Amino acid sequence: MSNGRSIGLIAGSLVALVAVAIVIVMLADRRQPQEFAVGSPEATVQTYLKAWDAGDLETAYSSFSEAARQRITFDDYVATSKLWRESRGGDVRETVYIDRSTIDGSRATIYLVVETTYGSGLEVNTYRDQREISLELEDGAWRIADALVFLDLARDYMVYEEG
Amino acid sequence: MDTVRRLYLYAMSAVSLAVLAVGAQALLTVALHGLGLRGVPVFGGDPGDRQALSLAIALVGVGLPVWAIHWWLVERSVRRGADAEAERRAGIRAFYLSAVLAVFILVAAIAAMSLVRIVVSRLMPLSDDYYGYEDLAGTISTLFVVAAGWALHAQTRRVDVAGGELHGGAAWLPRLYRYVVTFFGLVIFAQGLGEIAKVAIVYVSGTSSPDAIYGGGYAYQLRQALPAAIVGLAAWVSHAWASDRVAASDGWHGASEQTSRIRLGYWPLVIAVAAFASIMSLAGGLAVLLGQVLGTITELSASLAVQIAAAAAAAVPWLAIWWLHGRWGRDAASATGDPGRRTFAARLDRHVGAAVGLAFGAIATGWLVGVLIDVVLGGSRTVGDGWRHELSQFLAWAVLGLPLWIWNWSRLLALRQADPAGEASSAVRRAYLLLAIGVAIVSTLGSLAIVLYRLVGYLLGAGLGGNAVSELSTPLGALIAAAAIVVYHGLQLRSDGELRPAAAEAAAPVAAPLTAAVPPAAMAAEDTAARISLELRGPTGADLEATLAMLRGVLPEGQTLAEG
Repeated sequence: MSNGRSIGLIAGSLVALVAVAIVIVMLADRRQPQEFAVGSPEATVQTYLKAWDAGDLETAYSSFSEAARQRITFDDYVATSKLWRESRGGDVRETVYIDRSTIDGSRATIYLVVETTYGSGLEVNTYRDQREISLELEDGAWRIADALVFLDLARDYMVYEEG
Repeated sequence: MDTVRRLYLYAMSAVSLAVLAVGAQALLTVALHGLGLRGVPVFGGDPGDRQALSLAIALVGVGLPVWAIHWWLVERSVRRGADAEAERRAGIRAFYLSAVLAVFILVAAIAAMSLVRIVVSRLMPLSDDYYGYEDLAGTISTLFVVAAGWALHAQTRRVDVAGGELHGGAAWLPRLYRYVVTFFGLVIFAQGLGEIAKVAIVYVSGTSSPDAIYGGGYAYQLRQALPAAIVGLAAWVSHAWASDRVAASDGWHGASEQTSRIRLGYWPLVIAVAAFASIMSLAGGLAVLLGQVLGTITELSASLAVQIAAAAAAAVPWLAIWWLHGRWGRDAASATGDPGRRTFAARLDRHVGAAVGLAFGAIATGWLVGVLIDVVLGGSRTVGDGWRHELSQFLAWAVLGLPLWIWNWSRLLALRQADPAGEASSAVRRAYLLLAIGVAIVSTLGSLAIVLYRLVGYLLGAGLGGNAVSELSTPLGALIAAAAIVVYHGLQLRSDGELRPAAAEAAAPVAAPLTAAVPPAAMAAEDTAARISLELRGPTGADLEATLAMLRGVLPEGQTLAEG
């Protein structure tokens, strides 16, 4: 193959790839978030995350197990959530994927992949991280075993009054 | 094309190719993400893909035209025009192609290892998995883009080679790339395979915790070792096969490959590294055994047999590489039918083994002598149990290193006895002796500095404190071992030097006619003729040429006068 033809083939392939990528990204944006069976551990985590994102802390708090709620009152949870949001800073976006889950009797573990994006434009940075959430079966419903602020443990951010 | 223009074109091609490759990789990654390779999110939007797509299009939009124009100009100058041949043979071009191939293969190897890890983690999921979040789409894209770039440049090189003979950098730079990749592929493969063998031994033994041998679980260790073994094997086999194919080919490329110094140097390098790694692995197991005997290890995290078997298993790939390369080298030399090459191969093999054995043996001996000095002179190094751990480690090195050296060196001494002049004039032997002396001298520098520091400190009344015997025993031990090496090898070198002039004189009558292209028949007649040497002298300004001509005119038939 001649020099000009091989360069032309490469250029043509890349232009075609650009067109295909644009179409795929446009179509992918129309996709709805993944839905899970009602009552499954995954659905509990999704409900919690949606509530957290919407600022509905009551629903988020109700996703925790009885033992977890005894360790932190709702008022403390609200204060801790506020502190967490303040410490997080702006211009951070997270996308959460469920990697896999395991169920062992009345305990379940959900393994998440969290894609965090900072900044914008040419300053944008993305990194991927893995988290796991433990759940317990309570009265036939799956509850998150530890109180969380987003995906972090709430106790790591709790404010303790002096004295 | 002048050098400056050539440099400009290749530099621009390199920079724009990098921009283009990054853009193409990002573009493909975004497309694969869109196709669902990353999964569907349960939370959060995904504006990142649009941003990544914008950036990818920008990079491709900038990189593609700049690269296409410059690469087209480069290739046009090689394939057409009066200077085409000079361009094809340019060292800069060979350097560019070798560097691009090396960078692409390095990135491909990293991406391929990542891909294998992802596959293994899907098959053997772990909690708290460091590798679990590697981006599959990004890895596949990287692999695809660099593979395409590598293939394009490898094909360009193939066309250059097919165009006719290449010399200098144009010939050896791409060869260096091939052997460097072959070497590192082999090292990574052997290391990975050794780790897999270790894990297998621990697993089969039924040891409850794989942490007994090292941190992490079976799955974690396999996830580390398997990608290295697979990718290393692929890099080693593919590049070694390519080199062998070139060496077996007819024409200039095959001939150039067969006589290449890089190819020749690769062989002893692999043998040396394999010998080194084998001893390191085996010494690990032996140190555990000696630790038990000396009572330094009271609690074993796994049974003694398992720990020794695991160390031996890790050494097996290296031992196999050592043996195989030794055999391949000797077979290749034998295949030429040249006894000289056979001797050279055997000599090289033995000297490399001797050098590695000497290195381990000398370090261990230096340490052991140091401890002995400490004990005899009442130092404090043997207080406590720490020194026993070191003792088992260095004893293991001595037990493995010294026999290796003695085994090889005794055979080399036998060779020297059989052919003193031949061995004395051997470049391999001289290189070994000088290397041993040089490394020994360099290694004594630190020890000498410590000894002088203590001595000067004592003379100046600096009050350095500490136990002088204990601080000096290690450097003194090292100095004694190094001095022994320098003296012994120096004497060997001197003895060789005394034999060498005689050997050179004996070789001279053969070498001179060969360089003067005298027919062998004439050489034979010349060697059997009776002769005496004369010297013609005269006063300043005398015409000696005329006298010589006159003398030649009166010589009897069959006799000649030749100028020396």
